[in-house]
Amino acid sequence: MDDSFFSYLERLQIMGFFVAYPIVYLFVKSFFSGAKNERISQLPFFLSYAYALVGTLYVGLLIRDLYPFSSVLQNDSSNLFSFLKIWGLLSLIFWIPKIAKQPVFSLLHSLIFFYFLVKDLLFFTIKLRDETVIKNDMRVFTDSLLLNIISLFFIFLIALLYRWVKKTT
Amino acid sequence: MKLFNNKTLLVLLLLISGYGYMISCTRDNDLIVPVQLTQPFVPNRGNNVHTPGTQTAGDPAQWKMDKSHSSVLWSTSYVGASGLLTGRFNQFGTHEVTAAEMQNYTTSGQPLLDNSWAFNESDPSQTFINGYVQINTSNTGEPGRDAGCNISGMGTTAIVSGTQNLNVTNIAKIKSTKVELDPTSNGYIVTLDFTWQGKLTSPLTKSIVGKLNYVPKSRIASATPYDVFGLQLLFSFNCRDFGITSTSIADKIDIECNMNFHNK
Repeated sequence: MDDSFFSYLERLQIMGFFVAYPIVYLFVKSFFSGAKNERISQLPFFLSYAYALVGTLYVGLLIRDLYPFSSVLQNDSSNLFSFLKIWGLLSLIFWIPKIAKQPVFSLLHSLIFFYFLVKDLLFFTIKLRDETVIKNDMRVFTDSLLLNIISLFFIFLIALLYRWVKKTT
Repeated sequence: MKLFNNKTLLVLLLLISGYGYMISCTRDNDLIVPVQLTQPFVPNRGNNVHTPGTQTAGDPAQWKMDKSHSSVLWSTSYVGASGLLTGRFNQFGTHEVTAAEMQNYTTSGQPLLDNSWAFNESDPSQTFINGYVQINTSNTGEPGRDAGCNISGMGTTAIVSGTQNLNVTNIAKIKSTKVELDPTSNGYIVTLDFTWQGKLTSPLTKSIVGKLNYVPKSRIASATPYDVFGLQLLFSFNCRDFGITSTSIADKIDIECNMNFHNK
């Protein structure tokens, strides 16, 4: 990945989807695994699917970017098949139930994005002493946190609704 | 206990992201509504012009320095670290004392005409001030000090009764070289040449910037009405530049000249 402005925007864009997932994952695993409430204790099971949903939303963004004049990134052909994009697209495999059963893989997958945040924190606070990049990262981190929480609860509610419909019919 | 269990990792990631939030919180996005607490200064100067003329009594166009109601005050921090030590010079004037005029004058009044000044309220280029003080007339209210260490410490000689001593060792002079309008007040910024020998072997001239304030002309009602106005000149100098070594006073000496004029 080069250091161009478009690459930076692309990185921010993808971080907005995945960077906060490790926090959500570890929080749910730490506090909801083995919860007394049976339904709540199933929450960690949906982590992979929530991650896959976020990945799907990211694919939606990439598709939208393919349309002319929809994004500042759409004319930059060098970004079409970048490593980060391919890595982001890989999150779709968590829709596959067999892979979804191992949510730790989703954690490992998302840690690569968290690595970029740590790298920026170290590089721009210690070496360059420039908070602007950190500010951008943390705004994106906040968005990502909200997106991942909403995504998890959305999947959880769909699952509950599905079970309720199945039970009543 | 596993080294990297979920809670440990969670705490680690929370610390990292918390650090990120802390660093990024520059408050640049805070909505700061500027509140204008002070209005910009608007000068309010008139067009008064005052000149000394030939000091002819009874001519209202000629302004005379009212020496008995004027003062030249000095102040400095006692021992350079305490409260103010203050005093005044009993003998002073507004005359440009030339080298030839630096001598003793046998008089108890003003030895020279106080006519080396002019003031133009709206055109500072027409304003100029010259003045002098007799160093040995410094009066702090402590005769032992004024006639004692003040004389030796300032490199001058004691007062001789009935004599005005304008000799080079006893005179400090100011001469304005530039007067400008002060953009922040109704006053003026004055650049002065300050000349004094002090404890040096010959007089030294230093360029000093001071502040001049004008107290506008007023009519005094009396049997014979007359007008008055005032000039206040403030400046400072470093006495060490002039060889003064006394540790009783600080380096910086503040001078305040309060000059009152009338046209009687």
